[in-house]
Amino acid sequence: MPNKSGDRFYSMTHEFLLLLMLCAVFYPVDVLAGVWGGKRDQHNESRFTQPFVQDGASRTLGIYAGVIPASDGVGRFKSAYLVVSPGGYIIPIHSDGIVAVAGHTFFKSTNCNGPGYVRTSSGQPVFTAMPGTVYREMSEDRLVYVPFDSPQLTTSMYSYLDPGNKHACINEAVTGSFYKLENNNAAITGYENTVFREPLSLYYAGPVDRKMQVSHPKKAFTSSTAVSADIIDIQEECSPGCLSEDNNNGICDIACWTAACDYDSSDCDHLSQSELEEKLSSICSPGCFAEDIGDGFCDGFCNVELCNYDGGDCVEK
Amino acid sequence: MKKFNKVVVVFCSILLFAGSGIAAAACSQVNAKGTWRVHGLVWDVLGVDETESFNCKLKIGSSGGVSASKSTCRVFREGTVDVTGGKVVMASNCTMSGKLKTISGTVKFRSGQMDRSKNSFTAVGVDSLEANLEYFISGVRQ
Repeated sequence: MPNKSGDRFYSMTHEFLLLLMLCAVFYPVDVLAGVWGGKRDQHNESRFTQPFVQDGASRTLGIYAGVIPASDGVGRFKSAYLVVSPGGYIIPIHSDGIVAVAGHTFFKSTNCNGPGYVRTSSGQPVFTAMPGTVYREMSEDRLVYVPFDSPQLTTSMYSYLDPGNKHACINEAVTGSFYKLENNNAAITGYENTVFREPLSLYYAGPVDRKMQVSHPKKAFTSSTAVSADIIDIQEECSPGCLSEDNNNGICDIACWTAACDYDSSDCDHLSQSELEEKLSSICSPGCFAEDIGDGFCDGFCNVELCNYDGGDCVEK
Repeated sequence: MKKFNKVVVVFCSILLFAGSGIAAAACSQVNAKGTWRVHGLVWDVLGVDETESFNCKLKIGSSGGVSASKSTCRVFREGTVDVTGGKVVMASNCTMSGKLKTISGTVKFRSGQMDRSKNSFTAVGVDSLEANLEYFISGVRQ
């Protein structure tokens, strides 16, 4: 979208967040790299080293990460890293060690190879508004569950403005959907020791090269874009592919046959067990349906071994 | 009398035939539901930008909402463009309108028409911000 509409988008609130962000970009990186045992690429500080984020056991948690202003729960904003686990859990990590599992996420952007500085399209921090959030309360060292009482939120996070426009992911959109954690305790058990008690090692260096921009971008169909208010379009999906309008509409949608979608709110009750199993058999992994595999479009849900890595759709051609 | 009966039979047959035709042509919103493969062109009527082709996979809900998580587009020479939402409105006469939102803009479609089988449609559209960019799309149910 053109910058002219992007200009409208940046209200004073966003400018304030931007200021916070810019502060966060430069402050915590050095601090966290030291405190959490991260290291810089000594040879070329202008390039990210990969993998960008590893846990204490050198396991890659996710390559999508960035610095976000995240609420500390009492109305203050602190810088935080946004880490995505292999299982798709999005984890804002404050610089003082607070860890939260904000929900389940997925990323659609397939051509964003480097970390980007992200924010929500609404300008709101990821940490605060997510239903079903589980986080560790520092003072009592316990897990706190934020009640999930609204439809899941699908939001889009866009690369935060970078004055130099140098980041690989600038102008790239990363779309995330945040889903209810079906078993919150189990969902974060694996991270209690690795993320919180043994903080992440963050590998950080400078930005990677910016990708070539297309000289004649078409507006709606271009991979290069600035942020515009017009693209804020929150579509509620309680599970991948299950729009809220499909839930409890009298039609059985197998995409809605999840706990998060209340098993399609009885829309599938008329099916026999065998019919239901047949429908379910078309799902090789949550969010990936048989029709998605090998259809020529890379689908992040299908890019797993169980789904034959989307039939090769996600291989760069 | 026989002649009259013949007339009645023919008349009723015509009615039945026409009725079935009308029934087939009538559409409801749910006819747009499903996964669609959409191909299209975008061109600049001013001739400044090059004409480009794109193809998309769109998942549309029972009320016309476009699933962001299961929809995506790819532009020839440019790569993937994420779909962020949209809405398809199906009229009872099978005409279609709506908008498709991507990370970089919005296309407003109009003059869409779904075929009788409810398995394909065509439409034209225009960029919501730059009216000189026009779109032609053709969709086939996956």
